Amino acid sequence: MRFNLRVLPFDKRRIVDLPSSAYDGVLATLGYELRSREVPIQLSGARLKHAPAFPDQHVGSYTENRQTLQEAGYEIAPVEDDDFLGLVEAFIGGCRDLAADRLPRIAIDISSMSRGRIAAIVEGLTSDERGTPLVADLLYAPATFDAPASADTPILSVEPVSPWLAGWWDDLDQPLAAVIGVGYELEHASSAIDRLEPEDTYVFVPHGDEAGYAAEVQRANQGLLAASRDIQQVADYDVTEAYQTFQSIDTLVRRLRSEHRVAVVPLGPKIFAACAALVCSLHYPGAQFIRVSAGERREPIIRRANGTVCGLRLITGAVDDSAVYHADLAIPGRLDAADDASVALGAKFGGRQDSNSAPDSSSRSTSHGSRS
Amino acid sequence: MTDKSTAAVYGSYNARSVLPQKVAQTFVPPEQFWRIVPQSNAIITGPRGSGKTTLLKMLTTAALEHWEHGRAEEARQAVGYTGVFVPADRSWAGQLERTSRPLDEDLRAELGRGAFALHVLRALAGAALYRSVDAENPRGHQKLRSLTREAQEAMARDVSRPWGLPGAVGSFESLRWALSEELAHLGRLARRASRRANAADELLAHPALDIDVIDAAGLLIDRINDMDDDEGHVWMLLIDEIEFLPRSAREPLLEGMRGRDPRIMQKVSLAPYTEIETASDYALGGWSGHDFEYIELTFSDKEDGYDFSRELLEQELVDRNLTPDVDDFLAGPGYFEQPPGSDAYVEGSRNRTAIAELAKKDVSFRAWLDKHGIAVDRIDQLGPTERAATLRKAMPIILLRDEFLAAGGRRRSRKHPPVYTGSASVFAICENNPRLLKALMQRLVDRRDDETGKLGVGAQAETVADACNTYYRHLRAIEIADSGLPDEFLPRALVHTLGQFFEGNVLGESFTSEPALSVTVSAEELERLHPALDHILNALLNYGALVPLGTPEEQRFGLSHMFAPKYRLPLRRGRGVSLRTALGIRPTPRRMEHQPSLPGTEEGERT
Repeated sequence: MRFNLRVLPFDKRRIVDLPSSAYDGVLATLGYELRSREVPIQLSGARLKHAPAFPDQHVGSYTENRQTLQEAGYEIAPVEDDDFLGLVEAFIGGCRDLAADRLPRIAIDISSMSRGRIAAIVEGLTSDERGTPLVADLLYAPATFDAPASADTPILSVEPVSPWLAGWWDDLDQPLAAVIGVGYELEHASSAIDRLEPEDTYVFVPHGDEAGYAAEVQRANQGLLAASRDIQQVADYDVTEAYQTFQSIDTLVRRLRSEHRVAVVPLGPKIFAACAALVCSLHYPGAQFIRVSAGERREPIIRRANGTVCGLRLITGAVDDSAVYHADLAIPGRLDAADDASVALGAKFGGRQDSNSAPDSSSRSTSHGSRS
Repeated sequence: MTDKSTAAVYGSYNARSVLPQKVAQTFVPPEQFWRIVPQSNAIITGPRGSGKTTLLKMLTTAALEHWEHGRAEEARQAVGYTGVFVPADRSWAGQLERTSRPLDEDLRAELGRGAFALHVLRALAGAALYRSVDAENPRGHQKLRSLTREAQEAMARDVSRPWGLPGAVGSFESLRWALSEELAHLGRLARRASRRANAADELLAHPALDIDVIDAAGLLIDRINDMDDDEGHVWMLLIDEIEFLPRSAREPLLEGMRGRDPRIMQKVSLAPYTEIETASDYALGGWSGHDFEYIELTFSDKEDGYDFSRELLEQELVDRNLTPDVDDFLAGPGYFEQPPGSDAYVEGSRNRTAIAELAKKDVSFRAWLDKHGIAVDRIDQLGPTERAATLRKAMPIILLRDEFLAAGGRRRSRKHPPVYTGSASVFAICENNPRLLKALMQRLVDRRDDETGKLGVGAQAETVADACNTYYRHLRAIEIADSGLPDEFLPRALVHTLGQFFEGNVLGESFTSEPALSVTVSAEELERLHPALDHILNALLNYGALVPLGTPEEQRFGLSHMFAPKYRLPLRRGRGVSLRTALGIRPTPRRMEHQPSLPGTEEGERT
């Protein structure tokens, strides 16, 4: 058997255009941001719905979100971070049960999740080597721009987010390379560099639709970005083009890991964290996902979605070697096409590319396999 | 829009990932290097950037062979052992800790010990490999000139089984690769065990978990020493940043300093204020000078480090194809320094002018002069003893007050004054810390005028101030445990409070020639202020932001001179006050049996 992961684009669209009942299960978050409810409410036609709350920070829009999500049928009981992976695995299992002989399809709204929870999502999706294939859409709703809090938050920890994504070095003489996605968290990127002391640093700078955001990111990282001597490369990425971002990080890590230990530090937009977690999972043991934590001292920002959603589609699961590519290609890259496909497990292994799949999407995909 | 962000303070200057050969190309030995060289166990401590890694790397055969310094041959002669550099860092420690966190305590300890044992053996195989290649090089250090391919193959084969390496291993290089593979295998098992408790047995069965690193290393050392006809030859484990090792890995190594195998000795580096626990407390106990040398990489008197700093910066200038004259490049020795052979108080001198100017605008200074019987217009008539006793000691404060006080004692805003320029100022501001010196010098060289190639005083002052502000802002990077510590005790806030307190002592209303510029702390006081404050102070000391002063028993600390430009402080130390006083915290009043009510808080008045 061979564990397979195929990554496809999930193109940007309006949240209201998401089909309400396309998924067997939806996993979201009950948080304090207004946007934590915007995608899950649109997807409330799913049968299995979880939006676990964080045990703390019940501030901002939390109470309103709680009521709305509860009314939409979401399971919202708070879950500790340590228990979140278990919930993800149970959720995936539940969706498989619901799908019975169909290919299970799940949506996971990462917009309001912590990086630790995003890492757990990726672990849940990429570690179940015995699981049957499933389609998972990692959805991200970019926020409208709000100026960041100016609080002088200290860094509490800079450490691998989980054992699954910690990497494992077999040559400590190799230099460390840091791949940092910056955000407008003031000085967090340079603090992470200061702590990790990498030999080489590669920086990803986000830009998106929101006016003001790019300028704020530049301002928060101006010193770092100006220190050209310490930085090997600076690359922009579009937060609404998750697939390209994933490919860029993947390509860079692939290039670096032959001669470096690679630490990926995903600050900034959550979609970068999802891409980074996927890349670190795929390149284990040569890459580690580093979480920079400011703990509860960080001031909550009440963000709301700008009305659009984008992300990645993952097709994951253990399949026969002989069938791996057929299985991949049988899944259309676009959600509307997937709605029509209703691919049955028995049929997909022997199938060829579905005629309904959109050529632009299916041609943009990355396949990764690893021996279990 | 202001630039609030900062670049990495230390960025490119960590020697950890640099090949020893490369480290040797620019190595300038501080005086402590010659205390580290002898064949003895040693613990080397120093704050961040003080050169611990560099010094350890310089004891490897690869580095010694490539060192071109005037005293390099002396070092090559003195190092009669084989250095085995074993790196450790935060990234590795983090992944080991995070991977093993879900495991039970015993398995966690065994995994840490086993993983590090494989890294040590891998480094040992690497050192043996280096000694075996290019054996006829006349500058070769500790080369194994009579080692045949067959003998090497036999040695590798002999140790591979007890080292738990499956498959055929036929050379030192092959040993290294096989150890890397076993490390990777161990990692996969550990990761699996972290997810599934029932996978723990598989991890537990990995042979690395049974390896005794000293015994295992001895197997290869036996064979190499025998072949080389040098049975007592010492292999020196050079273990960097031992605080990052899990306790289970650290203990057998530190206890190896007892001389369990006389052919295996150790020099380890350690952050100075680290809580290291060992089962017996032996290795870090009171045996310094007996079983190991304890070597600190700081200079208790800043002037003691100036020769080293000067040579280091000369090397930087040479590397940039510039004339290696630091004083010339930095426009002289500095504002606080007196050119040798000149009269510091002669009419028209900087000191004389500052005294006269300050006397005009600072009432408290005039009072101080009167009290000491000093007339401004007759300073040059004072004898050398009077000058030494009064003026010389007060001069840095006089210069600062003259620079930063306006008429009436109001403070002047001086964005980039020339006070903190010059070679001695740069050495002092960087605390003779090589990494800070190199980083600052690189910035300074970058700021030269493109046409003249000269560095102006204004550009120098601005660059120094920027570097110091960067250093200050990076205090945010100091890792702290979130134990409910009040915001005012966070590292940066603590430094800021101390800096402002010291600044007030220097530039405050009353002139004093001996302002308080340091704090004393006691365990009892720390506990009363906050139980986690001890941890914060240690972190600041390890970072180099606080500097220990006096004897260890005094528990007296000053701010790093890196903060001098920010808080307008002299580049010297001063007397101490209690930390509580410096933080402006009043003693806790005794609880009264019947607490008086505050006005307006009687029950009936509540709204």
